[in-house]
Amino acid sequence: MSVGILLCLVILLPLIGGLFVLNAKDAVVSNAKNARHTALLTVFSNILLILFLFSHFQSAENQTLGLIDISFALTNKIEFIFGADLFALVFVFGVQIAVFVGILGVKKEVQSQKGVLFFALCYLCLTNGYFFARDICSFYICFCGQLFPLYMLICFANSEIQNTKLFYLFAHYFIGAALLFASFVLIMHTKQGDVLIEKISSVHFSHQKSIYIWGGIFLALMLRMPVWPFYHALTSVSVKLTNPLALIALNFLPLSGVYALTRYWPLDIPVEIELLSPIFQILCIVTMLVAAFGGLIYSNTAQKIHHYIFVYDLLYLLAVFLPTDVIRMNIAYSVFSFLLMGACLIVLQSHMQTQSLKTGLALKGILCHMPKASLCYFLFVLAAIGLPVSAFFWNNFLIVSEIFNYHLYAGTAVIFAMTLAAVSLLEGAYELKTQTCLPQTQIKIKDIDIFSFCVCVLIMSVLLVSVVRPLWFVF
Amino acid sequence: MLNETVLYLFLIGVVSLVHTNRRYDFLLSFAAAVFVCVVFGAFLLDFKTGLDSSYTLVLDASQNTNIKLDIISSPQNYILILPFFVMTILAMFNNAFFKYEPNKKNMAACFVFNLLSLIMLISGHNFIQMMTFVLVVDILSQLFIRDMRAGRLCSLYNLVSDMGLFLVLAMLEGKLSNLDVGNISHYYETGKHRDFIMFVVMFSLCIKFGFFLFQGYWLDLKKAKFHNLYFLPYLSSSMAALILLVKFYPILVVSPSFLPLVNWLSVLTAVFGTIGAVLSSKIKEKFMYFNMIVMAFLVKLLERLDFQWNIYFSTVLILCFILSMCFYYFHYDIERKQAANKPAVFLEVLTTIGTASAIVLQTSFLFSKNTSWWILGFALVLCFVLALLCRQILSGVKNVKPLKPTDFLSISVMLFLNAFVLFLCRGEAMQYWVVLLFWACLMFVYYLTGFINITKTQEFEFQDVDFLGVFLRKCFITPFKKAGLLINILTDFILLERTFFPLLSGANIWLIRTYRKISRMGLSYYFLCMLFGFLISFYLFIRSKQ
Repeated sequence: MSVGILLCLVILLPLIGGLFVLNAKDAVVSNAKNARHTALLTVFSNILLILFLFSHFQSAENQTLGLIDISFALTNKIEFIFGADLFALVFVFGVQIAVFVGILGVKKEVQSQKGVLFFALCYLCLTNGYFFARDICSFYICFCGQLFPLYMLICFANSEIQNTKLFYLFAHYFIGAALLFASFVLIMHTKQGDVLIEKISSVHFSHQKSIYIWGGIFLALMLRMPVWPFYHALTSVSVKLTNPLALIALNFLPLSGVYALTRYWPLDIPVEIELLSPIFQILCIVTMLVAAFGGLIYSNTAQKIHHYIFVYDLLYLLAVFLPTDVIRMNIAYSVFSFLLMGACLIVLQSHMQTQSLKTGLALKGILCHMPKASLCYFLFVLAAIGLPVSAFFWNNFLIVSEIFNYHLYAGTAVIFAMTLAAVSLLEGAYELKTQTCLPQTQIKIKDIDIFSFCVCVLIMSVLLVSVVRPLWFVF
Repeated sequence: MLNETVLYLFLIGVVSLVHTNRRYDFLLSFAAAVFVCVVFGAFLLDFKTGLDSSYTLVLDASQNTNIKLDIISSPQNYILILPFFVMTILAMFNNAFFKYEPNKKNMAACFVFNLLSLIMLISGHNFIQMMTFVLVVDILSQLFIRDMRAGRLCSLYNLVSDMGLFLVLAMLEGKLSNLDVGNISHYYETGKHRDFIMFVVMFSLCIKFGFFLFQGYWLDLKKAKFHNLYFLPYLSSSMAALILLVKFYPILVVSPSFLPLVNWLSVLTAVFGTIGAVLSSKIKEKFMYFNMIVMAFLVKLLERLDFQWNIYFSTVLILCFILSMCFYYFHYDIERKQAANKPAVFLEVLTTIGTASAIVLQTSFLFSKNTSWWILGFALVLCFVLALLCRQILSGVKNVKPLKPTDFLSISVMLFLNAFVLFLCRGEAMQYWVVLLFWACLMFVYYLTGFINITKTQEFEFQDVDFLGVFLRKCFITPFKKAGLLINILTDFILLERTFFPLLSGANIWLIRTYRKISRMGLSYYFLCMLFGFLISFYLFIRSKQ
C-alpha cells in the first residue's frame, strides 16, 4: 500500500467510522453497544495503521520533516499538502490512544451516545489532519474545523451546560481562528499562493507586516492555551462535564497549540515579538502557579486533575519558547505519555463520578470498593506525579533542566508549581481511598470492567517499557 | 561482579512475585532469603578480589543527553552495599519466620527489589538513575507500610523531598549539560547559588531522615504494624538519603553553612528524640523517637568521617538495625503478654546491651586516634536513652511509673557495661577521669528522671506536637489556600465573570443597538456610512503618501 494512501486513510478513517456509527440504531440498548464497538474498532484500526506508518521510519534518528507527503491541488494557488514525520506521528498516536480510552469510558447508559461518538470521531479526523497538515490552508481548515465537532461533542455530552460558559470558551477560540486567518491571508497575499508552514520564516516580509503576521500567529496559538485569563473559560466548562470523551477532547485541545508552536515557531522571530517573550513567560509561570494553587484549594478530585493538566500544558508551552531546538523530541515523548496518563485518569475519574451518582455515595473512599480501578488509578497518579520508570519522568527532567539552563527563578517556580500539582493529585487519590464506615455488603458499586482494566494495564506497561526507549514498539 | 548480583537479585525478586497457593508462602519466602544469602556469598567473594569493573546499559542514545544505567563494581561501592545486604537478609529471614505476616512472599519480593534499588542507587553515576531509584525506594516504602493512614503523610513528605532533589538535579544538568554525578564538583566553577543548592538538598534529605522539624510523617508511621516498620529507617528512604549525602558531599561542602546546619540539626534532632523517647508511653512511639536519635548519630558520624563511608560505619549501621530488631521483639513479647517469659526477655536485654556496647566500640574504632567529643557524646546519649527505654519497657509500657531507687542498680548495669567498653577503647586525647565524670553526671540525670511523674496529659500534649505540621499549616497551606481562593474570586469571578465578559457582552449589545438605531435613520444613515468610508480612505491615502 502506498504511503500516501495510508496517510489519507489515517486522516479519513475516523470520519468513515463516524458515518458507520451514525448508521447504528439508537432505539434499542444493544444497538447502542454496536455504535460504541464500531467507534472502538475504527480507532483501533487507526492505531494499527499508525503503527504501520511508523515502520516507514528506519530508526528513531530519522526525523526528516515531510518524509511522507501527499498533496491535492484545489486551485492554482491553493494546494492541500499533508505529511508525516516522527514528531507528528508521536502526537497522533498519543491522541488515538487517548480517544480509544475515552470511548471505553463512555458507558451505554449515557444519553445520546451516538452523537457523542460521531462528533468525537469527526474531531479525531480533524485533529489527525491538523497534525499532518503542512501548508497554511490545510492547517487553517483543520485548526478551525476542530472547533465545530468539539462544540457539538460538549453539547451532546451535557445539554444542560450554560450557554454563556460555552460562549466564553468558543469566543476566544474563534478570535484565535480569525487572527490566524488574517495572518495567513497576509502571507498568501505576499507570496501569491499557498506556503508550507515551515517555510513561513523564510518568506521575506516588510518589518511591519512581519510583526502583524507573527503577532497574529502567536496570539492565535496562544488563545488555544489555558494562559490566564483564558484558562477560566476552560475550567468553567470542564467542571460541568462528566463525559470522558468530551473531557479528553477539551482538555487536550491546548496541546494542539503546543504542537504547532513546537513545530513551526522559528527561533529567529521579529525583535518586537521577541521582546514580548519574557512577559509571556512570566504570564505562563503565574498561570501555572495559579492553576497549581487552584488544584490545591479544590476538594473535588476531578478539579484537581483538570488543574494538573493545565500545569503541564503550560510547562510544555514554556519549553517551546526556550531558544533551543534540542528538546523538541523530548517534548513529543513527554506529551505522548501525558496524553495516555491523562486520558486514563479522566476515564477512571468519570467512572467513579458515575458510580457515585448512581449509588448516592460520596466520592470519598469510593476506591475502597473498586479494587481494579483503585490499582489503575494509583498507578496512573504515581506516573503523573513522577513515577520514575516512565519516559514521562526523564523527558520532563530534561525539559526542566533546559528551563533551568536559561533561567533559575523560572525553573524554581516551575518545579514549585509541579510539586503543588503533584501534591494535590496525590492528596486527591488518598481522599478517594480513605476508608468509609459503610460495610462492604451494603455497597453496590461497579468496578471497571475487565476489558477496561486490561487496557489500563497495557497502557501502564507501554509507559513502563518506554523508559528503555520511548518508541520501543516501533524501533 | 555487581552486574551479576543485580541480575540474580532481579530474578529472585521476579520469582518471588509468582502467584502461588498461600500455603507455600513460607517456603518461597524462606527460599528467597536463602538464595539472597547465596548471592551475598558470591558478592563477598567479589568484594575480596576487589576488581574494578563497570557495566552500562544505554537507555536512549538518540536524545540530546545519553541516558544510561551504570553498574559500577568498585571497593567503595561494595562497602556501601554491604550493610544493606546484611540488613535485608536479616529482615527476610525474620519475615519468613514471623507468623503474623499475611503475605510473606510479596514482602520478600519487596525486600529484594528494595535492595536492588539501593544497589542501583549506589552503583549509578547518572542523575536520572539516581533520581529514579530514590523514587523507587520511596514507592517501595509505601508497599512496606501497607497502611493508608500511616503512609499518607509519608508519601506526601517524600514527594516534596523528591521534588526538591528533582529541582537540584535538573538545575545541575541544565548548568553542566552533563548527567554524570562525578562532575557535580565542577558546578562550583561554572554555576553560582551554592547556598541555594545546599539548602534545597538538605531540606530534601532532612525530610527523608525525619530530622527535627520534619519528623511529622515519621511519627505518623506509628499507625502502621511494627513488623512493617522496624526495618524502614534502615532499608528505605532514610538510607537513600544517607547515600545521597555521600554522593552530594562535593557540592554541599562548598557552602559555608553546610557543616553548622548539619551540626545544629543533628543535635536538635537528638535532643527532641531523647525527650520524645522518654516521655512517650508506647514502644512504637519510643522506637520512632529513638530512630530519630540514631539518624542524627549516623549523620554526625558520617560528617566526622568527612562523608567517607568505611567498613566501621557499615558495621555501626548494621548494629543499629539489630537494635531496632530488639525493640521489635520487645514489642511482640509484650503484645503477646509473654513478658513473664523471662529467658526470652533476658535474651533480648542481653542482645540490646551487647549491641549498644558494640556500637560504642565500633564508634571508638573510628576515632581511636582523634577522639571526637561530638560523636562520643552522641553514642553515650544513644546508650543512655536505650537504658531508659529498656527500664521503661520492662517496668510496664502502659503506665510508666516513677523509678524506684531500687531499680537503679539493676538497670544501670547496662550503662556501666557501656562505660566500661568506652573506657577500654578510649582515645589518647581523652582522659579517663573525664569519662568517669561524664558518666557520673549521666547517672545523676538518669536517677533524677526516675522521679519525673509523667501524666497522660503531658504525654499526649507532647506527642501531638508536630512543629513542621503546625508551621506548614499556619504559614504555608492556609495562606496558600486563602491566596488561591482570593485569586480565584478576584480574577476569575469578579474580574472575568462579572466584569470582563459582561463588558464584552454589553459592548456587543450596544453596537447592535446603535447599528439598528442608525439603520432606522434612513438617508442620514447612508450619509454617515459614506462619511465613515471617506474618513478611512482618507487615512489610508495619507498613510500611503507617508
